[in-house]
Amino acid sequence: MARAHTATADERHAPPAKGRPIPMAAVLTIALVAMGLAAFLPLLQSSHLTNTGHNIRELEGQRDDWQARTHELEAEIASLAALDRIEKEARERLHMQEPEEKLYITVDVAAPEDQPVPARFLPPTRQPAEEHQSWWQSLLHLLPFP
Amino acid sequence: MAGQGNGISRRLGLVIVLLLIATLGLVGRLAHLQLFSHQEYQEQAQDEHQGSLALNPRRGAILDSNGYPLAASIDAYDVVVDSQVWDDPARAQQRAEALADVLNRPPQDILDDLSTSITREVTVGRGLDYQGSLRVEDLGLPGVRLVRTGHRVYPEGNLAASLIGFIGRDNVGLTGLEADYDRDLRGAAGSLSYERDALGRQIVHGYSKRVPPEPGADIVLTIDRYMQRLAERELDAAVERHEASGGTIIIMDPRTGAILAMASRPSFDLTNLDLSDESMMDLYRNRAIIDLYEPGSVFKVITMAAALDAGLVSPESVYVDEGAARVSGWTIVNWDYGTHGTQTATQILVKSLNTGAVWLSELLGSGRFYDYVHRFGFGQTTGVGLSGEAAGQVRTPAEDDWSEVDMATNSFGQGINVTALQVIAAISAIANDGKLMQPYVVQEIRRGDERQVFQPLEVRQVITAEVANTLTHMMNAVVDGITAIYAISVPGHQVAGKTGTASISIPGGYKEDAYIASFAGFVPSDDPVLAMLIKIDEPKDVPWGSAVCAPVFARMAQSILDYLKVPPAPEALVHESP
Repeated sequence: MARAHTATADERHAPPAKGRPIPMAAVLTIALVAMGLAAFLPLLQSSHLTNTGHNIRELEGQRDDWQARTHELEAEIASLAALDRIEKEARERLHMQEPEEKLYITVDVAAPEDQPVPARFLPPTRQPAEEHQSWWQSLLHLLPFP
Repeated sequence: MAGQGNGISRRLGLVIVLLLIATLGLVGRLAHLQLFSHQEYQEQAQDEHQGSLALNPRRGAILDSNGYPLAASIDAYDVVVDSQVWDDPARAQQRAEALADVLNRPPQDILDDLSTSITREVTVGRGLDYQGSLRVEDLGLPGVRLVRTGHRVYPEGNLAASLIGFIGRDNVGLTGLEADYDRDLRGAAGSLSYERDALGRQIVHGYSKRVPPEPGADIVLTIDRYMQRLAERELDAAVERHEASGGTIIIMDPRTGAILAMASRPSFDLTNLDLSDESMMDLYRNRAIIDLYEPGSVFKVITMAAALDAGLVSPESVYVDEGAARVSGWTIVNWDYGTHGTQTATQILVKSLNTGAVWLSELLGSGRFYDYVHRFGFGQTTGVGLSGEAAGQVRTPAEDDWSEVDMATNSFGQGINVTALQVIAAISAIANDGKLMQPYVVQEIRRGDERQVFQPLEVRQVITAEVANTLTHMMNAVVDGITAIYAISVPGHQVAGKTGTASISIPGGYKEDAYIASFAGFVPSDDPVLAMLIKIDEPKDVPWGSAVCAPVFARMAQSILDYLKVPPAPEALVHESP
């Protein structure tokens, strides 16, 4: 027959049982690592900022270079569009010459609009984008509704 | 013992006093450095550790009315050397040799520049292009840096050289529009302040402050490059054909006052300037607005306009030409020394009769005559907005030495000094229903997205629209008369104009056997789109405006009307589509 266990006097006065105590060494290690990380953070930030600054300067340099190249290309385009060059090309390469006689004829077709600069230098004309329909909208077309 | 103790105390006291004095001295010196010389030493330190350089803005372009650049800037680079970094002679020699190849100049010249300069930083190369700048960068020489500047390019070559003008080495406009609109074109310089190392190089991670430069504005002209080129070609051809000393062609839109072309000869080579050559100085001015000349018979149109507007004559009014007019003891004869008998007012213009012009001026009287002369804009600047514009010289009865014969000669364009621009502005007023417009060459200034647009400006109604219309018909008759002789018609278009052949005034009289031939007119005369003045100085073969200038006018008018797509009269059409 089993008996109920009753606590002895020593057991009653003993402190309640606790978890395993954390070793001081571990606490100190964690604290040191945390402090190390905290100290390392500004270094990381500083390094990151320095890198970013360097990159920005490099990009600024690249931008300046591209701008210089763009200006040179603009000047080259202007030189290619110069009237003297156009006439030279027309005469020498295309073997064109001044008309000996001019005839004036009226036509019903409207004249093309003047362009301030040759059309090839203008930005392309944008076509209106087609209206995009989602898959469920296209399903609606299958329904027998007008 | 006590005496010995006193001696120690005295010596100790002396040491303390000396130390105190020394300390006070040091404190005083420190205070002097910190408080009174602070600024000076701070500047010295900054100068040692901080560098700064100006960031040059890109100069704005000068564009024709269709947006084609006549003058534009591309980036160029100056090579600057920090002489303190190059203080070692052996290394300096090596570096100079490396740099010399890119700069295309002897190494010794570079070293001489450094040794003779009084500044620390010395520019040893100028105007390097983009590829050249990359080569300098690749060399990686210490103490060498590139400063971005600008180089002016002229895609259309020398087109409108005297109007556009040029800039100096410091990118400041010296003549023409480059000077007149320098403030707009130049932009604002930026700056870069930075920390530098012992070799003068910018410390990558050091302090730096960059104020970006503000690029210059673009100037859009009323000049059309096609018309300008045509004017210059025709002018060159006419000058060569007639072995003339020079000439001027101006094309104006009479409805607005916009100058479509302005060419003068002799001119200069814009793309190959030598500013050290003083003999070239005479070529830099814009003769169309600066040089004065006596307009000759073209001015008879002004006299006629005044007489018509004052209601004194009509095209059919008659007078008797006796071959000479006597004024204040002087005898004035016709250009052909002929006597033409009874003539109409129209025939005064068609036959360009001096005596007829004198008759008109006498009908007007000096008050009304000079009032009209001023109302047409003579004797005052036109306000075209170009520096150096001359007002001309019109002598009036208000001046002590004026006499009746002055008005008589003025009536046919002698004894009065005008600019070519004044003449075409006055002729344009007749084409524009009697309204005088202020000429202008700049139609827009573009600064980023900002646009400053110049609108046409009406100066005044000089004569009534009816009188302008009547005068136009009389000028049609003038051209018809020339066409009969020189076959200079513009097919499908009616031209109104007047020729001039004027003596050239010099101090004390007139130049012998030297004339200025001119033709001023507008087309189509019923709805004018362009007014044009052709002026050729001292043609050698034939002096007459009708022979020298009118054919040039006809050729140019034909080309420009085609270019402007102005349809000819229906009878000039060969076919019409159904």
